[in-house]
Amino acid sequence: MSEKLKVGIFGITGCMGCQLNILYQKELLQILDAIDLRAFPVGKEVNLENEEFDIIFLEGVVVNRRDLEDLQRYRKMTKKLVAIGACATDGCVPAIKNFMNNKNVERSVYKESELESMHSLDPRPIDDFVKVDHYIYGCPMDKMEFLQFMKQTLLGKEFKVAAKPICYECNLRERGCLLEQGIECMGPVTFGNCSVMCPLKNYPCVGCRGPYPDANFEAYFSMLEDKGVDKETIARHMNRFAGVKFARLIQKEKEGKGEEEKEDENSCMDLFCHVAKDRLKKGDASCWGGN
Amino acid sequence: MHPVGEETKMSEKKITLNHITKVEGHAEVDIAIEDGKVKHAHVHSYEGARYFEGLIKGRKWDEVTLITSRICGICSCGHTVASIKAIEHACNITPSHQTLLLRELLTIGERIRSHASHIYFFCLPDYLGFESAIAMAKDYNQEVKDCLEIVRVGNELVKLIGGRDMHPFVPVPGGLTKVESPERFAEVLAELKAILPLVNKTIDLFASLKVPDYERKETMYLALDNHHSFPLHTGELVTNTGLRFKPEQYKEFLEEHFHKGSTAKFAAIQGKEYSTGALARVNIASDKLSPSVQEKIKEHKLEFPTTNLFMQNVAQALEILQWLERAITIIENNTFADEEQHKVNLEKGKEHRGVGVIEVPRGILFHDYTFNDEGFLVEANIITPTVQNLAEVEKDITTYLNTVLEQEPEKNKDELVLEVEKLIRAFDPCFSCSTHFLKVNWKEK
Repeated sequence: MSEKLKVGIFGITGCMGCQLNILYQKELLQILDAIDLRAFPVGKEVNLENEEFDIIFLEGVVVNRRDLEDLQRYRKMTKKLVAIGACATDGCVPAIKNFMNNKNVERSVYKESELESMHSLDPRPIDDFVKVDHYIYGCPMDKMEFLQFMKQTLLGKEFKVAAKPICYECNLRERGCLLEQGIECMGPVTFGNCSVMCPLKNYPCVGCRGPYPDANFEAYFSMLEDKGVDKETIARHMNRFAGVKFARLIQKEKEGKGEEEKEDENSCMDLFCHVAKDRLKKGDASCWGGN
Repeated sequence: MHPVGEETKMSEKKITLNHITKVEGHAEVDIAIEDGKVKHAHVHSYEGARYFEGLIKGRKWDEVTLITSRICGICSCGHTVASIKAIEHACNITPSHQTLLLRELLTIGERIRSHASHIYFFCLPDYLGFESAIAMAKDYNQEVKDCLEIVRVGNELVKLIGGRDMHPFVPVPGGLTKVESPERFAEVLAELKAILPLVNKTIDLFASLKVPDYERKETMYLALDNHHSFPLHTGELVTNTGLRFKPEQYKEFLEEHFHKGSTAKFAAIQGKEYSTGALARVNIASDKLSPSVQEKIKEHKLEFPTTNLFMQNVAQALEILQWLERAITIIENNTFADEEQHKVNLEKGKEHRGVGVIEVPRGILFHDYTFNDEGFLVEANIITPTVQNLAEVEKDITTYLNTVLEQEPEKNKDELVLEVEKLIRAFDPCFSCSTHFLKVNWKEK
């Protein structure tokens, strides 16, 4: 048998939920048998660094320079980098800060004198800074998807998830439409393959798996507005788990249509995306000092 | 090995532990030893700030919990319930009896898996001389499998109520979006019963480990007390020193202050550090433990209260049994069915403040929100257990290390570091959770 896969599991700023989800996996021992786990600081004392890894799983969002340095180091250490969970893939809730006044947010928690030592920057998903080879979406990351990824990789196959919106699976499972019942569900614009666990329990999709790339945002927003949902609510809901990615996608779509000119302060899209152009540019946001 | 820095100047020794492993989150410790005595010990988290209290400002009452549960992966159910309690208190919602029981089950599931994974995965390897539970799996296969099984069943209970095993979404202010079928409850009940022998074995195992002979008698403990049951979701706050206050009065007693020139926030009650968590609860409420837990205490000749912090792990093992039995009783004696969610009631022209205080695995958790009359959040304060425990951890490192240095002065750096790590892990800190920590750069004077 060929050599075992050299695996590392690391985290930058986050809730640790995705890494714990690996530790809580009932298949943990079988997985450990099949791989060479060289680093996993949450679960191990001895953690090898500065050597070649085949795969590094990384949880967390980049919120300061230390996170960025760690991220760049992990990228250099590994052949494949896998982003696990919404923080790494989409920025998750810490990235809501991008849509708010930084100073107001920070001062709600810390005094001015304390903030100096925080060195906080705008929270960003990891692919703003490095190449990511695979994404395991969700908040927390989908355990089944992680397991599928491990199996496929161990079999030497490429792991792929077909891009479909949440609605596709709701239809398959004959779960009636929450939107039709007047509940604000993000199913039409969200990346599927989560077994639609939330809608099945009468809870609307909140978009934790990030954008479905072919979503028709314009139609989605006007449908919500027709149902009487106000623009502020729509904008607030859009930025909770993957606001950065949603906003960029919408902005790109608009640019493609040449609609940038006719900006409309009252439109839902503009209300949500107004920060996109100056603050959300990939990698070159002013706060990150270039790159 | 974890990165350890050391500088030795004459009789001075400075130890820096750059990344404490096997804890939730990222933290560092600096310790300065001079003439064989600890001059100071600083623990600080370098988990990046996520500003949760700021992020939920301007959010409507029905989306706050969705965000606050993300504070912590290991106690997301605790954050969810504390958050819901604060919202309900503020928005005048009275949850049904069924809802309260189901929320209890949700946090019990979390308690079981959190304690089991902590004591087996993070602490036991220290006692058995392994670097991790993973390395231990060959020689102690049964123990690791027992742990995974207890964790799995805890997860099942969380999933049954919460909709998934982390960041639960089914419990919302006013009730639950869906209640599972009686068949599902019966299935989980059978699984809970099946792990009873494993949980008893767990207590036997942890009660038999030789813990360091160490006490810090002046330690103050804080726990919830409702006069009749072991602390979980209800009651007033009490200390072993005789203080008693209502959750919404916490600001009169508890302050977050700056500590010895560092920029980190530490909580104190009337100027004194205190400890909260499993040991605090067992110390304060041992008389409210179930008969079979009391029996276990007798069988192993355990004594509570104790100020030996290493007994925290035994207290956690005892709590697993306490809560497992409680979960079994709740499911056996109740039939649950879908019911309507209770409505919000906001008065015009008024601000609405609500405080949710509950016991989570690591201790007391405070969520304190104020909403405007349209139900938008205007002010929030969250205090996690680790924030409350950290001043104690520093004191304990100093006192414990001094004891070790006195009794075994020949111990080398690696051995000392292991002792410190053991102590920190016994505390069960969660640095992801402690949103209020700043990185402190310690400097030699």
